Amino acid sequence: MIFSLEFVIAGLFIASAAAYLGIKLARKVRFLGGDANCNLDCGCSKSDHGHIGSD
Amino acid sequence: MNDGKATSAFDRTVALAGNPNAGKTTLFNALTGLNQKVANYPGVTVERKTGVWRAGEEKALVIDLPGLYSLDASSIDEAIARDVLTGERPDVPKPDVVIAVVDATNLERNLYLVTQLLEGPLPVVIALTMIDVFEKEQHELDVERLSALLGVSVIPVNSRKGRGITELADAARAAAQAGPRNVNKKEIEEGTNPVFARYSRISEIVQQTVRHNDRAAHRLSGKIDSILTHRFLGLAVLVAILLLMFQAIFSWAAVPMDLLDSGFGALSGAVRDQLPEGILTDLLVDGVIAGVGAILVFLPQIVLLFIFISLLEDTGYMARAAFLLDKLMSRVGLHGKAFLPLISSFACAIPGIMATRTIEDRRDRFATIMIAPFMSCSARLPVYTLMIAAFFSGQTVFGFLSLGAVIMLGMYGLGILVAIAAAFLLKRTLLKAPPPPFIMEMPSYRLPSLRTVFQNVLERAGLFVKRAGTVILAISIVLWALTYFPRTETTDLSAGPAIAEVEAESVQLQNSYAGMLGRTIEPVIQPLGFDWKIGVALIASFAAREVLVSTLSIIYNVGKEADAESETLVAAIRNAKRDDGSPVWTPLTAVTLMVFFVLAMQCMSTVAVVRRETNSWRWTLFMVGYMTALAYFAAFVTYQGGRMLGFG
Repeated sequence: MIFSLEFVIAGLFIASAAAYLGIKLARKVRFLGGDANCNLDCGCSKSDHGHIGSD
Repeated sequence: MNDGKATSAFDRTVALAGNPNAGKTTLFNALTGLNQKVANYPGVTVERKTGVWRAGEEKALVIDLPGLYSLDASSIDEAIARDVLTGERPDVPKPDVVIAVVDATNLERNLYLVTQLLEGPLPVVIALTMIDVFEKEQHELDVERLSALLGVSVIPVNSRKGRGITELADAARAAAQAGPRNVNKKEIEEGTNPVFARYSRISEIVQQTVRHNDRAAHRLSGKIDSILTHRFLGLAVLVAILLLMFQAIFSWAAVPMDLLDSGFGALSGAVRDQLPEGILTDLLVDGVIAGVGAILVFLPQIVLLFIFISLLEDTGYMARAAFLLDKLMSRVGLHGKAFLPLISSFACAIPGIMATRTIEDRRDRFATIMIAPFMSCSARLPVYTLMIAAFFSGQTVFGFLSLGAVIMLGMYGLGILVAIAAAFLLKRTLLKAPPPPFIMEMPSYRLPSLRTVFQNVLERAGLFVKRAGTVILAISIVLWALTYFPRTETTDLSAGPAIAEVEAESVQLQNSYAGMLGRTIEPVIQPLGFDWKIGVALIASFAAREVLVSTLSIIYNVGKEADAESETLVAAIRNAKRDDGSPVWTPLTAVTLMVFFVLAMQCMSTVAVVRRETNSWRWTLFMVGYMTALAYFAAFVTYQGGRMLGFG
């Protein structure tokens, strides 16, 4: 595989996506530990329960 | 006008208190508009909603307390509301005035809380809701007399039309400045039983202020209820309504879905045409557009589903449907209060599980939590729809009913039946408890508010799109990478370049990280009729159910061809072949997969919330374990049974 510019850009995309998912997972773990309010990205509405991720 | 008591940023702090379904949230929305903030009270999962109410030049902080029937503090909600009202919560400013939201159509029950609030240390103003419904039913209410008897201002409001809001602001200001009134508490509690004494006093007030003249209307409502809540007729109507709903979802959503599908196909083609061949183009087309596009195509169905749910809720029918199922559920030992959480779970299990906090008994609460994820949530809709579109579209039952709608109803019904059976077993074994009391409230029938429906649908659709653009996007990119790496070079062109390309893609996928993962679990899922590609999608969908659709889209390389004829996901599923040339998917495989999805616990967010709400890993793991085992067993029986009956 040649490390061209487009390969680097694609790699950045993949790394960002993986990091994003990792952060989401870490926040869930924090939530489980009771240190954070719900920010589950669960698809339910803000009025359903306490999403304060954007506060 | 600052009366000196409120926090510096606001002229005053106002608490909204009232029974559930009294119109408190609608009033809160009308007062605060979009200036809302939702969080939890620290340490508990009771929602704390605050907002800013601007009345003229004044600015008030509004605290929306949890819906409650009394201040007796038998549940967490009631204890928190009482603490806020007495100023005992350090995280919430002590209110200067309480607006008690009272539903005119349920005056006696609502005044119970009001009489308790009047004995408290805060001035009270009553916002009388549903007065239009009350008067439409030809009752009469002497508001001035009610105000005189209670000794507080009573303001009729119509939150949806904004009527009475200015008067409410004036009354709240005046009450905050005047301070609390003195209530002769002794007089209320002198009876032999304080509850009866309170109700006796309320009954006197109601007799002096309300004139019922509603026999005709009451008869009509009674007649409607006698059908809609009838043991058999009611159930038949419920089934008919659900069938109609699913039929509409399938038929009405078809055109916009096809348009979106073609749009994403064209976008894939355009991107492939414009960008040079290579990893970046593959990532954008096969990962991002195929993954996110596969989910966004279902937006019209999600919108239609929530239009129907909102309409059913707003007309008061949902309470009748809950009543019908409640009869059945209470027989298996579930608490009457379990129904709101279970109904909420049809949208998403998480708010449903959180809503179980209103159930006081731990065993009743846990039993409800354990079965809530069986209710088919909106994330399952794309999975059901994809399977139905691939194998059952265009087929009818009895010549007029869409087979897809019947299957969809069957999947929802399967979830409910398994939930009932699971509750029955749990309440007789691990969560054994005496039969709980049976209480159910029936709100009045009313015309749905288009604004409420629109707001609800907009919010849900927005969340769906946001989720597709964040979590689904990220999962799609990572999954694509897992199918793209490590690279396998194949140069055998002996069968021709086109066949060589297909062959190369197949070899690449098999040797990729995703392929290795899929082939590792293949022996476990083979008895269900699933191959390793479905296995990869199943693993990915443990993050969130709808990810199955985007994963299949990536694995089947939807949008690979750069022309307008590029293969859709439905066609890719129909044409997928095993190594021996036999089709991977049959109608039986599709039904098996749907059965698996009805019963399996495939949602990380739900697992997190169950852990949080039960405060127990043991119960959380038990739920994941028993649901997965049940899903596997049911899928096994479906597939193997189907094959034995000749459907394979």
